Amino acid sequence: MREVRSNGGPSARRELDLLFPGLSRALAGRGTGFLLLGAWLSLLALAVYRRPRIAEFISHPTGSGLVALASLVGLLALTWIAGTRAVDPGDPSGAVPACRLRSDRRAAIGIGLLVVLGSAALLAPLLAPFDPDLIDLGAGRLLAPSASHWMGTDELGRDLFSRVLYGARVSLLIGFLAIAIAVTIGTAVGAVAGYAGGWLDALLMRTVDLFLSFPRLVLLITVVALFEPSIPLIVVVLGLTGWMGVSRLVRGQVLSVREREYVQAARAMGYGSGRILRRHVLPNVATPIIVAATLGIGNAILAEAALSYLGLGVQPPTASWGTIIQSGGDRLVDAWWITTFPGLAIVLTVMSFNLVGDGLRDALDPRRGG
Amino acid sequence: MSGPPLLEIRDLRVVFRTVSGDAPAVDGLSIVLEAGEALGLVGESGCGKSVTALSILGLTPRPAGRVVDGSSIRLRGEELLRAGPERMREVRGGEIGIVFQEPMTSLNPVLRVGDQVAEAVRAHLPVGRAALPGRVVELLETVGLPDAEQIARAWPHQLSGGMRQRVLIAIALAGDPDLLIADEATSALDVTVQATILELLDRLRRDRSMALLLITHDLAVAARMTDRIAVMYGGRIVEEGDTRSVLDRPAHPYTAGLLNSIPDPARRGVRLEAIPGSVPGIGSWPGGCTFHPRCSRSFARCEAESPPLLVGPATRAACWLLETDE
Amino acid sequence: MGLGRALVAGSGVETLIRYVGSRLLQAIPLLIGVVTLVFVILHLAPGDPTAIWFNPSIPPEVLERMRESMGLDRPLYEQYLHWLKSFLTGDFGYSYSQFRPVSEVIGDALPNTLLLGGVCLIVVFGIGMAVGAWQAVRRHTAADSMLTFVTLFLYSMPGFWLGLMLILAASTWLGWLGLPVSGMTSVDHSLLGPLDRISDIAGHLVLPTIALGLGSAAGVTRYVRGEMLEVLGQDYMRTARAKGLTERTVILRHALRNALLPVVSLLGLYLPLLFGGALVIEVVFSWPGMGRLMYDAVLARDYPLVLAASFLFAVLVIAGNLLADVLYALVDPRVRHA
Repeated sequence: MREVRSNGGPSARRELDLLFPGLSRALAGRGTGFLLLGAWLSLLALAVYRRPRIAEFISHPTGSGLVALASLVGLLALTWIAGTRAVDPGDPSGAVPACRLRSDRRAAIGIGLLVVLGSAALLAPLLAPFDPDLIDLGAGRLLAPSASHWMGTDELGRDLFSRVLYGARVSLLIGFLAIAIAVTIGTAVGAVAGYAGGWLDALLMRTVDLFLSFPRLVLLITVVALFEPSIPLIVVVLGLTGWMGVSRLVRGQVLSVREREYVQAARAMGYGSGRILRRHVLPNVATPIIVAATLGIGNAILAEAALSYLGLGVQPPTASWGTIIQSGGDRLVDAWWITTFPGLAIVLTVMSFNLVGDGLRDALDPRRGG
Repeated sequence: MSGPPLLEIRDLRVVFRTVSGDAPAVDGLSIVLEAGEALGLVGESGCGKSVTALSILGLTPRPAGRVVDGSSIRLRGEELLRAGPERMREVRGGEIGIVFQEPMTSLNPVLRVGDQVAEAVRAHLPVGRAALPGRVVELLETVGLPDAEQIARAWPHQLSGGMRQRVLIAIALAGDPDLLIADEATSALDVTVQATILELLDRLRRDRSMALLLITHDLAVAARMTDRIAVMYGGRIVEEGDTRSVLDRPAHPYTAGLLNSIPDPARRGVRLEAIPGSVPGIGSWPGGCTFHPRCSRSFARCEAESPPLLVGPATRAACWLLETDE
Repeated sequence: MGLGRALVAGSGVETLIRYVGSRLLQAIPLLIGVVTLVFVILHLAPGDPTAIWFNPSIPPEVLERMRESMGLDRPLYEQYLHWLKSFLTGDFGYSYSQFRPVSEVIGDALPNTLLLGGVCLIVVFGIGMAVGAWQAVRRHTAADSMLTFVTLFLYSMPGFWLGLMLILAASTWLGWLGLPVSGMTSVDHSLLGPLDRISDIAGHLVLPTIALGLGSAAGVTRYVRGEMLEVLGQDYMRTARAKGLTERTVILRHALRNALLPVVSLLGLYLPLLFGGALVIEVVFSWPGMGRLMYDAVLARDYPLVLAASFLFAVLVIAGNLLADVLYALVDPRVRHA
């Protein structure tokens, strides 16, 4: 917390930061400053504009409303903390790195997009101009995109933009949960296989081959057909069909680390296998797993969308992007907006995950990308 | 010996583009090589010798590397730096052959050995399809490979490092070049294999009256194989002369230092002298004489001005000492 | 004298056959595993597996008699063995939504899926390899950057949505192209001559192939670009140039051949994606293949058909992987000697 003595200098600016976090950085010409300031002002504007809604959520609390409120508060807090951190004029840590690596920049753009998308999903109840379930069977059916309905309305008169916003919650949630399951299973299987070796390794890897032999969607549909479709089921099956890649990754890492000297040394000192795994192997494996997980969420979202489009995924009235596209199927040409916009949302989201995943992966292996 | 020399490099400068500007890799190098002669280009890693070899053939890594205007590389009087791509292709392999350091990775893993040699032959000599296999076998035998017919049908991964290097030498000779450049050709091989490959190069050179540019960091290797030696440091030649003179009466402190650091059974018991300091990396070469920070005999002028090659007692060296005493 | 001979022994056909044989052998337990997995899923599902297998709407007394007559009240492991045997011999039971044996139904639909999948595969890898290699050679140009963005965009797209967008485009502002948007054949297909029939089917193939393939093509392009970049930096490229070969020869004969090798192994990765994607694309475009069959079966609760189709998709993937492995061994000499 250095303070340079100059007239009206940093100390005055720092006070401005309390009201407008990021301002001093923005004035210093740094990118993060503008981003933080912009986020702060947008969030505040949203809160002000949505005063009545917020009041409603407080007086009549609902699950989703509380999530939105908590997210708003949380985002405001994060922005404020980030924006009021002391910035030394000569300190480069407040600046967006000069993007020396193209992969870094890709990852940064991806993360930025994800933050925006994630915030939009969390704040959906506040951002949505209409209630997504509000039906208007009169003049409001099948309206083309306009100033009042940015993405038009569907066959029941519901505002599409609001539905897409709320759909983001469902799709993103399913994606995250599914990958959480997949990564857990994959890491466990890979670690055991790599460390144990021998017949157990062979057996587990053959199991991986077995699961890889089924196209994911085929397995999904088969299970959904025999059991009743529900969100927990979808999440579980998506997880059960997405762990294979992670397991191979982890196994590879474990194999390469297992024979290294410090592991031999640890073993000689009597450390148990579990401890060795945890302290020596897992840290090495963390980043490739993150890359795989990021790319995996994108794939999970695509799989869920396909499943919901087929009517075998998320069931109405819950809306995910896939179900919205499905509902627009009959009116493809007449009401093209119903099919187009949710799809664009999917593309944007998956693209962001891919940007992050690719960027991270290329940053770790500089020979490739760029 | 009339006419222009086989190879004449004058004032070659090569720079590499880095984040912080252009860094020189070769900084005013001049050498002359006559037909049939063996010249050793000796220097430690980082002095720019490999870049020199690549530049002769127009293979400087682009876009990072760049030959600076004002440099001249002449092959029998013809300026190669101004030659078109067609002409350069004729030169590569047809008039100048080159063997690199890493035999394990220098052969295409998915083509048979014989095909890769044949390719080199066909690029420069009008050998018909029918005569080609015979020619390939001939070449493989010339480089001392037994069972040449079987080797021609083999894949690179089936051969050892020494054998692969012989194949690469065969490829370099396929177009009947007048000059063979050996860029650290034995550094990646076992010591025993090194000796045999060097023997091979020597024999080939004499049999074909070929000139040899032997690039190496090992003075002992240069001592055995060459007629003349040019010592390189900091991107330029610091001493050159006929081999015996350079080894017996070096005029440049760097050469003397190199010689002193070679283990010699005759001086058993005497401590090995290493040259203090380390070779500066590309981009961080000191001003004036590039060697002066490590030189025990440097004085004021060395820091200020970079010396040209001056005539010494038996050799020519780029050292201000030659202009002061003696 | 024997050194050379010893070196090159076994680089002939025998190693190849041995390799293929060992891969075939490895595929068998995999097949058994697949059948077992389907069996396990069936028995884990809520409801009576027998009722599911025959038809949930049959009254229980009839069901009981059918069970006895088929010996399905036997213990589980006997059922499993019976199941294993029937699946591996192609007896998949009876489809009660199509009133024919399942194997017949699938037999009709399978070639259509193979047609779509096969054409798509060629397109995907053809485009992917060409564009990816071209991109690598033209690295750092504007075209390279633009293509990188485009491939990322395509790669992130849901295939069925692309299909819908294509139908939209083909029905409106690209309508003048006259591309058919559904089915595999036109209404008057049976009245057409043989050449016209082929072009009829070809016309119907265009949109589904694009929808199914574009995403994967983008993925292959990205992969090939990476591989090519890596190859271009290898030492043997330097040797090739030092030989005085033309740049064209250097790229085509030396770089491409090495860069495209691993692409064959990519085939194994993309097959499940292709078949899974084909399922949804067939539904979108009403293509009469196994995917649409399976979907209709799910809606009709025709479980024998669903399970059999599931099994067959897996078989297709396994067979495809086998072919890819053999292809790889043919193309890369190092694999045979491993």
